[in-house]
Amino acid sequence: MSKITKTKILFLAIIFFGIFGLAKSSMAAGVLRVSPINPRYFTDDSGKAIYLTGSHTWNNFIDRYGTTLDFNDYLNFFTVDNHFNFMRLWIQSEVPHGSDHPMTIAYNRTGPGNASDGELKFDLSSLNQNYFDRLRARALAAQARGLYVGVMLFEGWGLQFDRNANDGYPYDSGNNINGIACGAATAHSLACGGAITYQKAYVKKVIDTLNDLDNVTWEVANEAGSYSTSWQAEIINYVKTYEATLPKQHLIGMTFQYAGGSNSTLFSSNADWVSPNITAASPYDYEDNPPPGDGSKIVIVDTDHLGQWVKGDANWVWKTFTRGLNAIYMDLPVGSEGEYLTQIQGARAAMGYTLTYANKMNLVSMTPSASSSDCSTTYCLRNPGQEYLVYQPSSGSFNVNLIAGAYTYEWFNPTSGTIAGTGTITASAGNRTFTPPFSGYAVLYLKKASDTTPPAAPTGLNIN
Amino acid sequence: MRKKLIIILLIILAADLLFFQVFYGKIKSGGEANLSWNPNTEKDVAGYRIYYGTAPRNADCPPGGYTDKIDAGKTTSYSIDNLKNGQTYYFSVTSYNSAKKESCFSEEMKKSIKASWRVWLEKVFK
Repeated sequence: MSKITKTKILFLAIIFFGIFGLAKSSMAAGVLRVSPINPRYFTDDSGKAIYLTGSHTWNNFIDRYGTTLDFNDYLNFFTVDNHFNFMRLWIQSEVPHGSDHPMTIAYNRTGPGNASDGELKFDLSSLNQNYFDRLRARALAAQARGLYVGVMLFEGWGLQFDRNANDGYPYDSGNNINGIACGAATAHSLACGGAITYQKAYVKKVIDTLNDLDNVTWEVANEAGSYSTSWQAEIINYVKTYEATLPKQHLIGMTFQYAGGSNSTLFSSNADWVSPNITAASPYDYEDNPPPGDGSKIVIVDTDHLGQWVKGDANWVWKTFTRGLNAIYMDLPVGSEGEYLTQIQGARAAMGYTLTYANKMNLVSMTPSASSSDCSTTYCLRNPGQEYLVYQPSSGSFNVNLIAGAYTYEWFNPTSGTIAGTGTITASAGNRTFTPPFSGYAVLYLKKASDTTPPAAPTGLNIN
Repeated sequence: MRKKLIIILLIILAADLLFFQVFYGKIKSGGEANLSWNPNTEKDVAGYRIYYGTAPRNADCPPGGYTDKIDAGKTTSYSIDNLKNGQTYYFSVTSYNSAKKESCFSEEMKKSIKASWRVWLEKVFK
């Protein structure tokens, strides 16, 4: 076949399948955004509240520990084994991790000269296309499984606590050909003035790579310390400003600034969602007694920021969910859970169960209450007169304050993962006592009983 | 040579259009009926069912003698395709609530079916 004929065939194929491809892209549910009705939660074109839950681990994007993650297996772990809907993706462009040098960096190593790790110096103006190809491939693969992806743009913990003199960190003195010499953590502050130009170019490339996808949200950085506040604000502003010129605008989150940060900085930031550390106004804390979400920001509570891992268990997941918050889990790679296996498996299962109830309920109309006058356990989501989800974090009977009416009930045993009883009750207004048909943690789901009178026949039938 | 290329491009674009229409069900071997109705005002309405057949119904409430039934879900419009060309069909709609209690029929409407490719061509060349 001649070269001209091949070119013609390629040209015609582009015309043919190009039209087809354009038609297919209109089938998505719309970009993830803040629910205007219930801003504790995300939403999309459906208007339904979307509760995000899932786990994450350090090598789910970059190659570490000398291996490449089997991403398809990892997706099976999310969707088949555990029924999650959210993945925090550690893309962390320039992470040093001196003791475990990652093999996937966003910048090309062009030299001339060698960096401190003995390999060619980085050119911060030259982005590594393989890195972005992998990013798009993984975000698309996640989308195909119905997963939302939190794309972590930068990683701050390693920058502070996992450096050594020979780690070749791209932004450090002598490791790049661009004259950038940030050192230590200053790359994540505006103190290292030259760095921000290259960082924005990298962020722009990430956005260009994923802007057309609906299942994406951004995270500025994992645990960049308190020194990073103005730098994070700059990145958030840049993302919002740049995406305003593009077809889609994605939400961006700011997560706890370790070390030295405070949750008040997160809540007063220009981020759309936040991940706090453990601290909250008395009597609350995000580990044992989470404060009810008030809708001022979407809150994704991530056990990564609650203290030295492994934090959180099934009880924590249910408490977090019934306080109107999203629960995600700092997981360990499958097979390396060791002594934490039972705790971790409980949390994974609970995330799947809470997601089932989030989808089963009309979550967008439900608000959390920690008031014992609404439910004596203080863990309940309510749409008074319509739906109630109550979590019992200890054992035994509890009260729920109901609006008079007929309700269907469902007892769920979160320990065994089974529905332990269903039925219908007719309740008077006020407190009603419920006793779980099993001991230990319990979940009660009440829904207004459907009207047993048939609806009216439809009118205005028209046919053409 | 240029004229030949233009002809080839026109053929390809026509093939594109045909492929697109066929793939998205715009051109099918049978005809179609597009139904719409008013939404019910009850809060607890969970969906609508469409009943149809080639003979008028014999009762005011389901099943009414209809030969086919479709659950349209919680929508107030629906297209039924692959209907037999040249045949007259009768349609009614019911509503149901979350307890699966179903209403009696709406008014009955009928439609004589033309092949949808004919409808499409009529629209294109009218």
